[in-house]
Amino acid sequence: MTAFSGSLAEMFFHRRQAGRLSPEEAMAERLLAGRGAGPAAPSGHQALERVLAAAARPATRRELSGEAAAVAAFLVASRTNGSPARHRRHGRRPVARRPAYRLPAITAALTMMVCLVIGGTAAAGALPGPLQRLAHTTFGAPAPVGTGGPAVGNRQDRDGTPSPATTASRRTATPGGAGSTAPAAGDGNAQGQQEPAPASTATPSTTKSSDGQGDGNGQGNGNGGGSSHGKGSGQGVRPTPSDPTPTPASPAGSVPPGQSDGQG
Amino acid sequence: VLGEEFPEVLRLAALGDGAAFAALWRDTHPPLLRYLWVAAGDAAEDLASEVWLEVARRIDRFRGGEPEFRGWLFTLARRKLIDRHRYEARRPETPIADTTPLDRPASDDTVAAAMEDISTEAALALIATLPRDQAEIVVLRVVVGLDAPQVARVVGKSPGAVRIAAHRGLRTLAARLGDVGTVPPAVRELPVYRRVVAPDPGGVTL
Repeated sequence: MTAFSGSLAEMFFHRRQAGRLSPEEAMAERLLAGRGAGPAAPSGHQALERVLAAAARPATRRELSGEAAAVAAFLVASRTNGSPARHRRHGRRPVARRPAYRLPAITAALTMMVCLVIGGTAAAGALPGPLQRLAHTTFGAPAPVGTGGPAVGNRQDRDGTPSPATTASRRTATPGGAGSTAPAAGDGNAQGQQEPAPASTATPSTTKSSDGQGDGNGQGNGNGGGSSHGKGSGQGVRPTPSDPTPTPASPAGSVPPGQSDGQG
Repeated sequence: VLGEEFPEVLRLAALGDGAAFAALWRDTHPPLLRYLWVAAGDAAEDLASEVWLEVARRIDRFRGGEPEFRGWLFTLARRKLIDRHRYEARRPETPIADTTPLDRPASDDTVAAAMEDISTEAALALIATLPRDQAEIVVLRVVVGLDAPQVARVVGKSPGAVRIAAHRGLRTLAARLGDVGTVPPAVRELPVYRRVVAPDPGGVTL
């Protein structure tokens, strides 16, 4: 419907601009403008002219009978609002003066909030890597884990105390060969390294241990969300029979050097 | 039409002057009432009151001359009409059978009355038998005196579409006037809820 009307409208305008209104259109425009159909118009047009003229007659007394009520309502509305114009003018003045000092204050407050949030996040070391690195170099926030800073998880591994992560990795170690007499040399030495090392791969033991358990794998596993970069050279742990968890200083058992707990 | 007096009248009315507002009201209320009557029938008085209250609240913000004021006034009126139609669509009313003949005489009666004495009411009743958009545009052009671009701004259409709707409306009216006495029964029994005021001894309610 809209497209149809639009196309008709365009046709009408093009024709009108060209000054080529059809006689019917010209007559309709004359009637709508109140100029009359003219004496030579058909009778139908003259009747239509009379109808339109009657519709546009001056106001009747009945139509104007509500003037007093309308004015009373207007006055009430004016008093309710104050005088509409005066009331609104008074109300606008403070609005116009506000931005002069409010905008800088709001901007400063927002900036301070953003800085506090970012600083707090950086101090907690929870920013994404590049941002955390930037924060580290800029104002001494903790370095991102795995990019050269001291890894939290390494301390325990250096001590030989198995962290929960390392314990778990040993429990899932590939079984070593039975009958091995090589000593379990404890945990691997985690070495933080700058360059990423390939993931630790558990090498199955080829020697036989006496208890049939070898722990020659190494899983790069850091605490505190550290990524498993770095390479650890570790040796398998021979677990005691009663405890599947390997003892760090177990003297017996030969487990081929695995890679364990490398921390970057 | 107030003409040269309009700017001063408007300024005083914006300051809350009752006499100035009365001058505005006398000049524009009759065509407003006729427009609303054609478009909304019996609700015209209520709608006109709402429109004037809106004018009273916002007249201080209006800027423009007399044609612009008329355009603004009828734009407000049309918005009230749309709100009214939406309200009626949500709560449809079914006229009771007894009152239907009083509220809506047949179209041939309207045409005959328009041809006999051609009163304002009869002429408006005949225009009100047109489709609503055509009737609105014809009244805005003929009764209110707006030109096609002004009507286009009021009704939200292009000037060309307004002209075409007005021409179609006039063509339909001319056809009905030419067929007085030969209106087919289907037209006479139109189920469309056209609010045509029934004549009463004291005159036509408008």
